Amino acid sequence: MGATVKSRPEIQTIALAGNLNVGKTCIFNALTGARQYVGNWPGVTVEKKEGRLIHEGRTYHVIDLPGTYSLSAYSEDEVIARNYILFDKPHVVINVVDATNLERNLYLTTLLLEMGANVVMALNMMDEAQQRNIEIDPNRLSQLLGIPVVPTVATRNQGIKELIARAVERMAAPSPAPLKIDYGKDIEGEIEKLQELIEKTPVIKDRYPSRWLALKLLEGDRRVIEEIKEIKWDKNAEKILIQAEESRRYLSELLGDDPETLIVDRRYGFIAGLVREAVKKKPGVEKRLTLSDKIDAIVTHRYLGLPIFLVAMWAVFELTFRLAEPLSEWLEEAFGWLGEASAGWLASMGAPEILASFVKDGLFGGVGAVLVFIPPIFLLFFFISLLEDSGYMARGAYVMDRIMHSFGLHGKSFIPMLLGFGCNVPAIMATRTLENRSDRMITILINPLMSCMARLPVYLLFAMTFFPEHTGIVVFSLYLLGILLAILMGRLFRALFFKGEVAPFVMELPPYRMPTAKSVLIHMWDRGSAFIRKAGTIILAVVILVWALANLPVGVEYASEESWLGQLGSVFAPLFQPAGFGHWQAAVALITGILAKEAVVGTLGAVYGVGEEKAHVGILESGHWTPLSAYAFLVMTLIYIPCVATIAVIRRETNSWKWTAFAVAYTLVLGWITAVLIYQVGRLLGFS
Amino acid sequence: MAAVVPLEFARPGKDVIIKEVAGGMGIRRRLTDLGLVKGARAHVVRNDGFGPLILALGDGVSCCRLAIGRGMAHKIMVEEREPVDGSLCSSE
Ligand SMILES: Nc1nc2c(ncn2[C@@H]2O[C@H](COP(=O)(O)OP(=O)(O)O)[C@@H](O)[C@H]2O)c(=O)[nH]1
Repeated sequence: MGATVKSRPEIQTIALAGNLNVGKTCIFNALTGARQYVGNWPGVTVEKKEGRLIHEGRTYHVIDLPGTYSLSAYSEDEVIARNYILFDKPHVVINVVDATNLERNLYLTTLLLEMGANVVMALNMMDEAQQRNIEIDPNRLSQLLGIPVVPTVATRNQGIKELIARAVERMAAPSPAPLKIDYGKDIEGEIEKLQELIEKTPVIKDRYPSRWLALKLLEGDRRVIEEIKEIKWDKNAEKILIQAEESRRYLSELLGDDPETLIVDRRYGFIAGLVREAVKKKPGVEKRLTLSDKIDAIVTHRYLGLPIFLVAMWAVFELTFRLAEPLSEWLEEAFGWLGEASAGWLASMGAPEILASFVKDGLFGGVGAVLVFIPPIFLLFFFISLLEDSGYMARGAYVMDRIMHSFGLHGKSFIPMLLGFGCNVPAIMATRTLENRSDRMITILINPLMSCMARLPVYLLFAMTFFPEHTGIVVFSLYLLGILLAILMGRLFRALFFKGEVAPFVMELPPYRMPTAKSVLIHMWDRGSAFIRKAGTIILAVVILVWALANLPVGVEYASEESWLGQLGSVFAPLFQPAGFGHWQAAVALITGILAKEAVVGTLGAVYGVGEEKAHVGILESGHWTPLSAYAFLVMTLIYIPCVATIAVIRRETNSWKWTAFAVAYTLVLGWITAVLIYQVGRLLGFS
Repeated sequence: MAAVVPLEFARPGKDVIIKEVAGGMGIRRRLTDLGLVKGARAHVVRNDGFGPLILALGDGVSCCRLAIGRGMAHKIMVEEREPVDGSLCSSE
């Protein structure tokens, strides 16, 4: 390979960069096939996707950078993509570009080129461009930008071979000089001054391309300025910052606008020129309203939009949980049976009883607890991917924005909140569509307050036992309480931890497309498998831990008062006295409820010695409960500590143990306070 | 010379030229990234006086649709123009 290149590590790296929704995922899959793995970028919530490409016997490392429109310091995603290109220096960057949206996509391309990245362009969605009579001349574009441009249709694998060939070829060639856009005499003068200073400062010069850095300083890029400030010990660094400040002031006065705007304007000017040259034929007189607009006129209609969206969501919900339930049940049964069978086999082999029990309830129970989540999660993500790929999801956010805004949330927060009624796990994973970190964190933190399906059996058990006449109202009041608390907490968290406005609502409404099976399945798999990988181990560990607590010391009856779990329950019971349920049975039920909320029912059945089916009899006959304390207990069940799967997914999505611990702590405290309040106020009002 | 008004009040069916974007760097950045820069021309596809607006942003080639929240639309000053026939996406 190229002898001109300085020695490089064995495995060469290809990075993928591009706007959102341009087909980057499709291209990544076409390059790597099944050889991919997902992790997190260090310290942030953003997912990191990597894979391997094998081409002509050589292996290449492929990395999927987050989809971004720009490379400023605007969001975590942009900072990640920028730092990776700047500091990790991938050997080649494949810039995936949407041919139907050339101008906006080229903005990122110019930024990459200005940074000096070694770019190969995948001009994707060529089929759609053709359909819309957009004729782009890839050769001309390639000449103008000085980079290879390969037309592709990612969904049909067209052009992928050529893309790989060009990328590999490009790695062997010497790195190109960064793109130079002419920013006009005045700005160029200041760039030159700064560049001169930069060139004289080795620590900085080695780290950043000098012209790029000069531009960023003129634009007043916060991140870059901060980075340079950190190199203060070099007195030139200080000089550079002072010069940058001076240049910015000079340019603002001279040109009557801030330099950032001027630079961006010039960049767009350059792009407009490119488009004029490389697009051979503009579309004929386009009708004012495209088909997409006509659909939009209905689905984003002032009055119709909301009902349509709610019906769509309801359908997703119904379909998911209806289809998933039998599958989950079947999986649970199959695992129960496998557990029984292995325990039986172990017993027949003369293994100690405790071991058999461990295998049955701990091991198989634990794996089963993970598996029951698979059907709902995969189905839910299947339907959501379908709606997303068709382009409808963006309209949903549009319709909901106004309402969510009044709750201090973003339009895109609605979907996760709604999904929370099904299961908080996929709901929290669905917060990924929120670009702004604050909006996302708040949505994650309040999501457990949405009553998931697993809490319903507990509600029903108590409501039917103590409020046979008003079961519906009681259950509904709990759902409502959850929503109210979520809104309240959302506002509180924003005021306390995530100051600042809700991220302004601007989003692209992509044209409607027929979703392809391949792409929907890929998106479903990406999200679903992430859950199993990351949350699975935590769930398994906790199930085994609780099993141990309930069965030790050796010889005790499962979850009895003498077991460690029972003793733990006795320790916590007094805490719940003010809420009206200060007996160890309730405390034990709450502890196992952390495993899975529905476990509360089974545990109550076990601790009252009547079995799950007769739990209601046990509750009544124990004499521990009054309607009021039962209601307080339900409120506690609604709010306190999310289930382990939810905790695991909060940890995964926030990438922070601190916030995970916070979610556990605040729900526990809030649950306790609310339960106590309800019980005490209820008593004052004469209820019992 | 047409009056400069906040985008919030631009009428559907008209074209607008962006004159000024008030507000912080964050907002400006976001708009810039999506191609809403000073001088850009856009067509107001929808404005119900309620909920976000929909703009067709011109790039001379394609028509991408942008939904813009009212709060943000309040901060964007535009000049209304009669639409140029057939050039929904003209980028003058
Ligand atoms: N017509 C067409 N659709 C494509 C092409 N590439 C991707 N898509 C579709 O565009 C949508 C977004 O693709 P995806 O790979 O998820 O984009 P990403 O957000 O950039 O990762 C999906 O519905 C794909 O099926 C293409 O070349 N032609």
